[in-house]
Amino acid sequence: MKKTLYVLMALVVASAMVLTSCGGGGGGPVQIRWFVGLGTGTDPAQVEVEQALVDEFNATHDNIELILEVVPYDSARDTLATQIAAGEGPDVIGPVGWAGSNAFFGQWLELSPYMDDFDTSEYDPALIDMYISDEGQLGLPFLVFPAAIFYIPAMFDEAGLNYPPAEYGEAYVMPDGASVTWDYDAFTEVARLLTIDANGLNATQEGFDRNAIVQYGFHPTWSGHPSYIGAFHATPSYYTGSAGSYETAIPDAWKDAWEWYYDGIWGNQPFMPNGAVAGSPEFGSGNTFNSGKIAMTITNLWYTCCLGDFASAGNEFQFGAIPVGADGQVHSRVDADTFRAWKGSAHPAEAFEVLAFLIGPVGTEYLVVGHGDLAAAYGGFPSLPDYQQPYLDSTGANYPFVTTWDTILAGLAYPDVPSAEGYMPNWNEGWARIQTFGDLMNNTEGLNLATEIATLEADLTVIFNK
Amino acid sequence: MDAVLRKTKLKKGLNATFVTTVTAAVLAIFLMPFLYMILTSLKTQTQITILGAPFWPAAPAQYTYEGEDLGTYTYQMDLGGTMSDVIIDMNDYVGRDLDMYMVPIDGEIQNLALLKGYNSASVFLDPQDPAAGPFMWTGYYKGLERGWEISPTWQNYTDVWELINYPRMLWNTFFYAFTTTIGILVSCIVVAFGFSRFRFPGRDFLFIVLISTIFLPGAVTIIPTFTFFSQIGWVGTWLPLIVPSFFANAYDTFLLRQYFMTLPRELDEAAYMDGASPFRVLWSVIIPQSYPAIVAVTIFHVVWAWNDYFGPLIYLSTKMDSQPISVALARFNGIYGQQPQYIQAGALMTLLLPVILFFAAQRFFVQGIVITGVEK
Amino acid sequence: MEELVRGLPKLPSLKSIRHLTPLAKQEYRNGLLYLSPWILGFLAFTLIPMIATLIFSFMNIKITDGVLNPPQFVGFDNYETLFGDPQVWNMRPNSTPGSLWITIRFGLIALPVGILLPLGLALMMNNKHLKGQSFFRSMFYMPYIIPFVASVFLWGGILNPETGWVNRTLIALGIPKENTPGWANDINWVYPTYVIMGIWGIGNAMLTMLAGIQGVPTDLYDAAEVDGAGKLATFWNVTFPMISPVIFYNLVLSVVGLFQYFLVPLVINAGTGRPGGATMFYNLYLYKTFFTNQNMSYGSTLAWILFLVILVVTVVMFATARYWVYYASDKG
Repeated sequence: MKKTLYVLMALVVASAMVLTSCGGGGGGPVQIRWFVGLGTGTDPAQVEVEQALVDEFNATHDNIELILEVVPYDSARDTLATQIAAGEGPDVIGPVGWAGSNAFFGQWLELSPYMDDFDTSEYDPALIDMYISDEGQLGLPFLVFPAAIFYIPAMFDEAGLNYPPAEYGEAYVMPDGASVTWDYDAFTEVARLLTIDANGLNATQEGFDRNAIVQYGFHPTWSGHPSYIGAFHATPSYYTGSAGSYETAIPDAWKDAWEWYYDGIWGNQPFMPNGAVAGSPEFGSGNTFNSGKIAMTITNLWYTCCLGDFASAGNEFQFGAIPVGADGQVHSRVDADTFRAWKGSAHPAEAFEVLAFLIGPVGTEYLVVGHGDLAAAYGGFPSLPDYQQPYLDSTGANYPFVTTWDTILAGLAYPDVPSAEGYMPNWNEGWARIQTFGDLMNNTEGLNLATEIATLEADLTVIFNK
Repeated sequence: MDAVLRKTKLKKGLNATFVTTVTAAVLAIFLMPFLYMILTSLKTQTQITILGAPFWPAAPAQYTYEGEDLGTYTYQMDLGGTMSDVIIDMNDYVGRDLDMYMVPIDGEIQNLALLKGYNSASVFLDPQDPAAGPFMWTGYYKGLERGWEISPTWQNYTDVWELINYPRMLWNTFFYAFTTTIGILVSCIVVAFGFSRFRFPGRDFLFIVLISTIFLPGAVTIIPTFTFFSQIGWVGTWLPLIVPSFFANAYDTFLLRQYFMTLPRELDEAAYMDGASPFRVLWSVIIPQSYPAIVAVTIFHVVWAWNDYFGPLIYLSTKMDSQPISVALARFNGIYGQQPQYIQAGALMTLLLPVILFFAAQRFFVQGIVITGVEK
Repeated sequence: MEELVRGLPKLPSLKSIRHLTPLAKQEYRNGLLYLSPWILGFLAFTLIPMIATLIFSFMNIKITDGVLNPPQFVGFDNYETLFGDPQVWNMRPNSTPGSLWITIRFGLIALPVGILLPLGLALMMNNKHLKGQSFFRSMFYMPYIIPFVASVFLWGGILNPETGWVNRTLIALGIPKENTPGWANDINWVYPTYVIMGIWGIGNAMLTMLAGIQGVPTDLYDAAEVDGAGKLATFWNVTFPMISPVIFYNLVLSVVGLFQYFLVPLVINAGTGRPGGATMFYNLYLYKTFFTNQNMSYGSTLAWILFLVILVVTVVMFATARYWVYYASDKG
């Protein structure tokens, strides 16, 4: 009877194993997993296009079965790290910008061994070089995203204000007729005039009710990370020194920018929603500009992905120039996204085949220009020259009210060098720590910001040297 | 005498009414989120994004202008500190859906259609009398309430059904619950039998060790366990979740052992007299008498599996199609967070089956809890 | 539980096993055979991993910049890092503290609520004037079986500072908007918010306490009445001692659960610690250290410190239990 017991147990265990492991199966096409979530690409409308592209790929390739994995942005780094820790990383990852690339520094496949049949002559050589590091060619150009002010002209009309300048260097005419430099002082004044309570009073007026604001002048939608706020004011820097003795080196101009940001939320004349308001469903659950209740946002071209509700509610936006920083220079940000392959992929050649497909003509058509009835998934300026005009045509058709795209493309002349998402030691933890500081600013009234910044710097020094 | 009796009766009745009412009120607050979930799950995205929208599912009232009057009108208003002309050409509005606002005019609220709004004043049209033409109202239109009509959006449920791939997630959850329940039952019954029916040195010590593992933090084992499972290639399969269930856990073993202890030994002994092996005794004597405990373990475990999040999260992160419903719901929330109506519909789909199971098997829940909780 | 309060039984000596009668030896072998699934599982999934975690904590296994460091023993380096880690220890009274203090701060609210609320509800259910007792009992218990991922979204919606029903009700009651709680967005309100989000988990404790209260022999109450004891005195001298084992059991489970608390913030904030790091609970920090920052050794160190903290706390609780927990079998 003892034997029966063992046999019974063995049977149950075995059957469970058989049940669970079925579907593994050998032979057949190689499975290649495409991981989306480190950057743009997780919005429901985007996922639809990505899935259509995957279906197209699978229909035309017998050797590979492409599988789409979409992970929410907030948990994507955790998930990807978990997968990599398990040795089960995805084969192709993207769209991924400098942030995602630094978060997984050292995990990227060197592509040159697989590039024999890949024609790089079509690209601007500078773009190819951009992806070369000590470890070799870790990526190939796909999209660039310049930044600009997105604003709602109707709100300027309702308040009787002039629009932000459409060209860099242009002056701004205030309501009192004074012509001023388009700097952050002017921008702040305009943002306050556009922050309006239920009684129609703006933030500069007597009797303004900050608890009944129906429309805010400004919110940096999805670009509120303190590093981005800083980078729109001054050149980024995070650390000095070498391994073992790193020191935090946040520019003073960034600290001033953070003071400005904090004052915009909690100061006497607020022009930005706090965390609770920005996260509330009425203000778009974080996608604030899309709610049509924010007059201006400063963000990158990729944000054109996610303005579906905005346009369908009959709203219109235009682009304006980024204000000049305290040093008299324009500091904008240029993001660049591409697809990368994981170093540990069991099928690097097939992974490269998928990667080349995604950044190539078919991928670019689906993802950036729009294929058939499907709108484009990613709003980005393609690196393939043949697709730049079609992209502008198609995105122009999606947002027919935008009078000129030149303003945002002009932002390409003001990149953040080094990138706001540039390397720092222990990148993931450092980036998250700075984000935590941003959350604190968004959600907490009455902070002594200088103390909090000092704490942040102390923590970063520990993190850099961990 | 009669009056006194009636008075006590009345007092008793009043007491009962009072206590029951208070309890019912507490219960209503306790269960309020259910109502919130149902009402929110039926809203439209439009309603979600309008300030001051009602808490019940509704659509903002609109009015379509038919072109009763095609004149052009000029109004003087304060725009950014200077008086300017605002020109309204009614031809621009023909066939357009206009938003309705509750406008206070002369102390009376009128339901009017907005033609053009500014910070200082707005131009409205009266839908009751469109031919009368537009008129200017001084005040800020965004501070006004909107008109609303009840409008439940049942389609949210069919949308979520497809978006979250509900049938697949449900199957995954069911499969997870089913296989691990088998593992738990087989192993825990065997081990509980060992603890309750054999006397040997060290048994009590081992039992204490078993109980202590209830208090052991999972963190102290997870790093090597996860690393081990990933080394042998089990991450991305169900195996790390299912196989350990075949090695008994403290909680269910304890419940079953407590129950077995209450069973009289006479029947065991009679069976042994007849030459039965211990396994025979377990199979034909103990198990048939233990259905209440076995059912309790089963339903507790099913509920546990439905709720389990962390294990599937880390072991199935590479196989999204295999994830159970709670992991899928959390991921769904990350992607569709801007559509609270979808999240609430998804939450309802997630909790529906456990709730049905609970009402179908209430009796066993109560019994099982009493066995584990009170006798400890 | 009772066994644990009474203290550990002695391990049998090898000698005593060798001197067993043949029949007892047979029973010994059979007993071990039936225990074997658990013993194997305990070794494979508990004891060996625990030891491995301990060994990892003295090594330097981490992935930095995508490269696995050559594993080597580093003595107490990780423990030194831990005791100097501001993200664990920093007290920062006016801002967000280190993760250990966050856990304790949360516990100061969660533990009393987790014991007193089910006790209060159980007493309410036990009120002799209550009609429909079994209905109420079921309904208060029912949310316990709802997956926490779903209930977190339900409570999260109702507690939304801008659109939630709670704040809307408060405003309707005349409380100015600026004074309504910021709930999960406020670094101070976030702890009560998480306690409320977990409130549906009390069903189990409530039922066990109710069963305990109903199990108190009526003659004890009669005796108290004869002695002229008031309601409070009766509760304190009769009901409370009789249900103290149940309370103790729930308290120990709550404390152990508290130190391991992290799934709710992981689901709500994707483990970002929002708002402002206030929800970076100790166990969440541990999770991030291993899974996100790929520092296996430091994660193991955090895990062993957690284990030791829980061990000390539970040992202290069991040691003090003899003074206030009353087991009926003590009577004899």
